[in-house]
Amino acid sequence: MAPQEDMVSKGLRKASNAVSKMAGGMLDSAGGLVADGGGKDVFVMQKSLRDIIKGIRTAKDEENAYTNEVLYEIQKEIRTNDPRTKAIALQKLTYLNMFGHSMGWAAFHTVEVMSQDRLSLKHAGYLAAKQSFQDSTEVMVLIPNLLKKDLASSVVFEVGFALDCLANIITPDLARDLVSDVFSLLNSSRAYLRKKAVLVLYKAFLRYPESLRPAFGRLTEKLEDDETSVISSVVAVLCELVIHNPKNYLPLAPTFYKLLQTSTNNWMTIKLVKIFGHMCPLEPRLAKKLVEPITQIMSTTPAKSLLYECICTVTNGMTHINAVCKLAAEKLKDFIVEFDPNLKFLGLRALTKLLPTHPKAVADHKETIFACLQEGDYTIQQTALQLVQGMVTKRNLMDTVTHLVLSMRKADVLFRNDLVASVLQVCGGNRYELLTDFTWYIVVLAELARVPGSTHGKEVGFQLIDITARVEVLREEAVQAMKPLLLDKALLEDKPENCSVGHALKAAAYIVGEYRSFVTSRVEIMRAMLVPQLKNQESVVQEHYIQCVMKLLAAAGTLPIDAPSAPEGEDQEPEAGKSQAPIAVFQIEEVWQMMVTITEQLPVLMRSRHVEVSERACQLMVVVNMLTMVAEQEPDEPIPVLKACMEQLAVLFTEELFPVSSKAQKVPVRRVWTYRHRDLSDQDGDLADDGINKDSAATLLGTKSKKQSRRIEKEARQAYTGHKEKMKEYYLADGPEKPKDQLDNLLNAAKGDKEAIPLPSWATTKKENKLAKDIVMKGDAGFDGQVDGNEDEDVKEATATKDELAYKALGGVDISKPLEEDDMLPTTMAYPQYDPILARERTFMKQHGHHPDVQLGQYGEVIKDTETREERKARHRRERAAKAAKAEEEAAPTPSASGIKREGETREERKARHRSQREEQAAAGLGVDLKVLEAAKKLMKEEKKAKKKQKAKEEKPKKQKDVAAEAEGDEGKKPKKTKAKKALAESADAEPKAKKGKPKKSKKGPEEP
Amino acid sequence: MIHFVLLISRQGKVRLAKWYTQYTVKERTKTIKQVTGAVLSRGPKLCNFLEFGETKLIYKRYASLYFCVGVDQEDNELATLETVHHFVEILDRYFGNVCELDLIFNFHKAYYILDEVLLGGHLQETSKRAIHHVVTEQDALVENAKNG
Repeated sequence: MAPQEDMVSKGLRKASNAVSKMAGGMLDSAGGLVADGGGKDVFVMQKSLRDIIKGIRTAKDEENAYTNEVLYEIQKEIRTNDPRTKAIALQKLTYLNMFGHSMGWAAFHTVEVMSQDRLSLKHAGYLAAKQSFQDSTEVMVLIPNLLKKDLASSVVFEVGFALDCLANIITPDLARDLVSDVFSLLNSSRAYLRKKAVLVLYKAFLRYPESLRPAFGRLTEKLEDDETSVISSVVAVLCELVIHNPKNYLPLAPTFYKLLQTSTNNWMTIKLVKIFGHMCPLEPRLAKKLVEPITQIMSTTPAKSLLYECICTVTNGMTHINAVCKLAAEKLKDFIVEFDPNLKFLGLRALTKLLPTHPKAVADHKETIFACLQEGDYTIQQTALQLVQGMVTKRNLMDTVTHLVLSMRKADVLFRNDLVASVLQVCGGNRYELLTDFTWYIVVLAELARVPGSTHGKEVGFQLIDITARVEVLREEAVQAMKPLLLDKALLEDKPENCSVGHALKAAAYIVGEYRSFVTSRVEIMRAMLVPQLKNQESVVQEHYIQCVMKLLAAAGTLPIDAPSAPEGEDQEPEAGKSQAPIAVFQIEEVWQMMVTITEQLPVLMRSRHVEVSERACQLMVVVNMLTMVAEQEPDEPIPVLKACMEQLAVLFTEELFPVSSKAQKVPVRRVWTYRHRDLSDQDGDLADDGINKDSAATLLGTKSKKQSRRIEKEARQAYTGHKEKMKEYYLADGPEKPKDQLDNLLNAAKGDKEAIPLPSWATTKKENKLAKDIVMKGDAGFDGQVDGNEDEDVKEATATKDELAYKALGGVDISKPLEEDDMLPTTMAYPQYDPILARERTFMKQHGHHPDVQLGQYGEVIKDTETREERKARHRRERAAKAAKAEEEAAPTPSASGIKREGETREERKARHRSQREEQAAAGLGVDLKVLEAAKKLMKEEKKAKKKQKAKEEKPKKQKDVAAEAEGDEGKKPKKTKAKKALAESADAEPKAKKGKPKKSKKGPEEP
Repeated sequence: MIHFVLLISRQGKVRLAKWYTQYTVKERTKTIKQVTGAVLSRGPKLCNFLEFGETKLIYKRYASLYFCVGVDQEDNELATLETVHHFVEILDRYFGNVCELDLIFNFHKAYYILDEVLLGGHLQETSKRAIHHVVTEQDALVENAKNG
């Protein structure tokens, strides 16, 4: 090929003065044409084609003007009656059409010229038609007859023109009308026409598929034509048909096979091999048959195109035959080592196809493939990279990545980006499937972050955090690897090379901040981070930086774990008594330095136009100011105060990321979280969902030690029992004194029952708050109310008449109503020994010897859940009656006895007790709305006042009558009043609680086990 | 199958444009623009194959002319390059050391020769001699018709 090419090139470089010599044929005589025939014509001075070509070339700047002028002339010329003038005008127009000038308007004139008898004119017409006619051209309806006539012409070239033209402009209509004429040309005596007819037939098949079936038989017969060119054309047509639908042409395989063995024409052999390449996947037996001829062609042919076609066929459908594949791989190596970039590219691409089935054969050429990465040609580099990516295994991963990273240095920006992407993909793909050494990978990632012009900073950052969070042992190395990134101020510059480095830096800042205990030179890092260049970065990067600074500040003052001496060489000011333990040393110097740095550099960020940045900066500044103030308040001894403050600050960031178990990694973490949130929100209200963006990852809750995880398991089991009660909405079995523990249980339950999935700490904090609030509401001693289920009933019974309104005010809970099926009043089981007031009262009662067992019955855990209201009422009535009877019997001693019982309780105390009882009820009214409760209290107070007045009136006469009862007041009256139940009820206003209390005590007593 | 053949000068001027499948005028202009942009910017030692939408663009530079061919994905790139070379050789034989100017001033002849090499996007004649014979024979006929 090469020598011929040179020759041609030399020829093309010929001087332009040779033109005049070269121009021949019709054009030359274009001017002459007019001169000949147009003596009387208007267009004696018609410009020839040569004139306008020259004119355009000399016009240069005024080319458009000149062209317009010519077009104007052409429009006039083309309308003339003289066929020659018309033809020349059309030819000129065809020439201009090449530069984008429309010639659709001249379609009719084109047909006119096509219908000329003179071959020279016809030729010009056909050329114009071939170049300009489209499916939408309207004059198409005019040409079928013209073409028909020409197809049947006795002049071979006229038929040739018509066939050429038809191949170009064929429409479904034309195909339908003319396919029979073309078909009949298959029998022409001229091979020239036969081969053209065959190729035109294919075009007709495409536009008019119905023509394929009748013509197909005759077409395949032409495979045995005498002329190679005809056979070649038929093979080309069949090849196209096979590519579209190989299955239908399988029966022709033997014919093709025969042709393949006898063919001497490389062009045709290529087509035949291609046909087999498409047939092989469908017919496995064919592959075996082909082994021999294909092997022979591959080993003998000098033509690369044919060789390549054979290799393609092998990779397409013969991959199960090892011998051929090996040969193909060998031949492909020749392609790759070849200097010609075309062969290199094709070789690599074929290897890519061979890779899935014969990785070993491909891996043999690894070195050559790696060398291709340094090629100057992007296409080749890309293909090689694709191949390299496909070849990576666990064993050669590090080697490959090293190669890729090395290639980055020489590559241009475009390919460098591809390299970065491929490294990230190869290592991070399928959850770091191939990766064995994460420490090494962290270093690689740090390197990738620095690659200038890389656009993959985001992915680098993501992987950095992902790995550091998951691989615990890696954190120290990660921090060390991140440090240089943060220290390098050049990375913060506003340059196109740093277009995406910010996202990696953000991750670095997070890692350094989160694992600050491994940071050895905090002040240095902080100084490097708070530089004015930070403004160049995106706001999100600045936010991360500020947060990192805050974390570093929180860690300040304590020595890093593995730094025995202060890296800054500053003066340590060990506190007295603590200087022995290096970790406990509080370095006031470091804190000062940090505070100074922050005060100096932060104001710039405080004025940022990004709200989040400025807010975080302001926050940090406030913290620093507070620390300064604290220190100033104790000018003599600032260290202890400051240290205490710093410790408090450090508490903010104590929680760390929790490494997720490998099992959990299979689950998309985000989804689990969402699910978890929903679970919790049942109990805890609206916990907004938040995905794992970096921010939430930054605040992941973490308990991480093994000890703790064991604890979690234990607590989870405990919490499970608690959880059941939680579902009853009143879940606080352990009493109010240990809310923190309960909270832990809850939180850990959340963690424990789902493979230790980390919960964002903001969520838990929220939950914590909420829970704490709940606890306060339910168990706070300040809220003096605790109600038993049965207490409810009794209260209602006694107070229903007067207190009904008050209870209705309690959030609409009507206690007097029977419970619905799914309604639930709290059971006493849910609040065993819950209310401190009750407890106090009980002890009080016990101390005063007031029927301890009876009291137990009233306030104790046992309730008569099973007892219906009616039953209870009836029982109460019975018991009261019995008691009354008994009291009557012992009329004389009773008053004194009762007097003794209540001896210690003054009237005020009793009142207080009653009030507390009522409030308990109100609280148990389940609204537990303090406001409502307040309202209820008020109502009750008013009532009480009213009662008091009434009582005061009643009491006077009573006192006079009953001397014995005088000391005790209400209690003493009871025995007398109980004689008649009605009377009791009527006078109940005065002392409802006392009456209610008593019968209850007496009835409950016997039920106690 | 070949979809189009474009001959583009180093200055980006179209010297020959042949379309074997349906391209509207707009698509033609657009394709020419894209091909020109893609091919002219490439360095000399690069691979001659380009992805070009649904087709593959295969180009080869001869002196000041780029021969650009758009082919199907299945097509053999090397064979296409050989087809281009085949065409160039025939031009060379016909014009006797062909140069860009020959093709400019005899653009219709270039088209005619191309039509004898390719038909409907397929190579129709592999014999250079046969094509040369046909073209000269036709020239003679045209000459006769003109004079007679």
